[in-house]
Amino acid sequence: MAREAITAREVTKVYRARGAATTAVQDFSITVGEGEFLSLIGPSGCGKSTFLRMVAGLIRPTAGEIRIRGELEEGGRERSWRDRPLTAMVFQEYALFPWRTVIENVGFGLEMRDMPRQEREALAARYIEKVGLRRFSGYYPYQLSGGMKQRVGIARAFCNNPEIMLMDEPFGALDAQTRTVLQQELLRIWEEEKKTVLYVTHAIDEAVLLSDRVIVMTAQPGTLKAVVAIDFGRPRDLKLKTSSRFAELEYMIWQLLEEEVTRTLRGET
Amino acid sequence: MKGEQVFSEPGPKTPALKGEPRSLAARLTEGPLSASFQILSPLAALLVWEAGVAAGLMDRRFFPAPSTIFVALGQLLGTGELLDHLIISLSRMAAGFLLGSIPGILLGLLMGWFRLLRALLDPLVAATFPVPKIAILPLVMLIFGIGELSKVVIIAIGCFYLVLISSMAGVRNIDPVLIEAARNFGARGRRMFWKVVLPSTLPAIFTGLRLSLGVSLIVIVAAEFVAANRGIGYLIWISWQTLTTEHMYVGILVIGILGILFTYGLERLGKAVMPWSVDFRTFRE
Repeated sequence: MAREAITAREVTKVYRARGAATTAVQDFSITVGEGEFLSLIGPSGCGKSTFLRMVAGLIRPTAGEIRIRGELEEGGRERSWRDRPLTAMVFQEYALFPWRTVIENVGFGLEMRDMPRQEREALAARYIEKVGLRRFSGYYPYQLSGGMKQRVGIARAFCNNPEIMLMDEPFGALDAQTRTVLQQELLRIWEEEKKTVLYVTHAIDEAVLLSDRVIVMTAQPGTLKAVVAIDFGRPRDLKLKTSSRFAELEYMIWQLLEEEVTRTLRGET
Repeated sequence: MKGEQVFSEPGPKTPALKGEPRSLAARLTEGPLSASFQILSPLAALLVWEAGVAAGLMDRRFFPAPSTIFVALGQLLGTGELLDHLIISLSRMAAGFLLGSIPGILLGLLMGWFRLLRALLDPLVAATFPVPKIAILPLVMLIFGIGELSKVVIIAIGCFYLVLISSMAGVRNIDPVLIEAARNFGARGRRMFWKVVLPSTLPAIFTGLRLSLGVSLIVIVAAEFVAANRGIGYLIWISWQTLTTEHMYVGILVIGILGILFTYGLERLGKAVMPWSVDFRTFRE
């Protein structure tokens, strides 16, 4: 972790609607190391998805700044995204383009970067292979199950070769079994690709299994509550869940979260 | 290969297995029998009608027997008169449909995408859309003369609004997360428009086109009633004036058939253009 992939300094986001102001994220500062897998966890509405979208450059912070590899989000984007985009996002809702087949979805980012058809289809095919969907590359999204759709979403993001992967509760809409299979696949692909990942999740066990560090956020307005280092080696697999250290970490994170979740449920925020 | 297990995941559209018992309703409404089943009720109605006239229960001046109508249809086809009327009506509709739909699609897409343009033009659209198109036919004739142009224009106006409103609604209903994804993967400006906004709006555009084909039929017949000396509408009108009721029915029949053909043709076109659309599969249901 010699270099910093993401540096966020006192990032604040305030939404204004009909005169009322809601602070979604307040004075949130983190750094994510090069090649690190970092998870954000927090109660519903704590602004973790908002933060992710600010890193993606989809929305602007009200105050503070986010740098990716030392460059400011906006300036850096225009200069370099054709060679190498700063971020690629995986969405909870999959967000596949229904009118594009699997291979056309996976190659979308490359197409926007004007890569010639043959080249981008070869590259897309490689990532489709990686997620085990080779036979489905001509299928449209409506012909796929939820788990398959999210495999396409993951392939699409990796295929665009971003500096940073942003994953917004990617398995949140999947059933528990499919989720477990996909977590393992993500571990495998991530270990092959060695990308910096910023991962938003509700599931503590998922955060512990996948991450190098877990950031616990407070209830709204979201800000940093605690940083938990996950001291397991790599490569990891599901067997990790049987260790007592895993249970310990899970419980520790839950203790940090409990107060925040209760506060959210009581509507105190 | 580790992902091999996914191949047995059933897709959401798995067809019913062969040999699985199916209900009577399923057997009659799906598959090879469905076409003959659908024709059952219209056929029965025709038979009752024929019998009613034969038995003297229905006045043949107003309700000539189906057999009489089919004979008249044969005659009008034989002389080439019907084809003549049909061609002229169809070409008016085609011209008006294209002239109205294409600008309607473009303006609708733009109004859907650019908030400022929508704020500017929406009040005008909302104020003029509800005016029945037939009500302005005299005005259109005043401006464009009583020739072909006025009929084309009145159809174009009818189509324009419907296509505009559904394309605009289509753009506004695009799932915002798709736009986010497209932006995150580098789509900007024109490419966002052609590669994302337009394809996501296609089903809505097709709905608008289908509605406007229906409206073109209504408008062309009405316009030909009052301001034409050829065309299907004219045929119906002149048959009323000369009390050749069976010719009137031939005209009505032709309009009905056109309506079916248009809907069916557009549905086929939609499936060809949008093999990916789930909405479009249930187009007719």
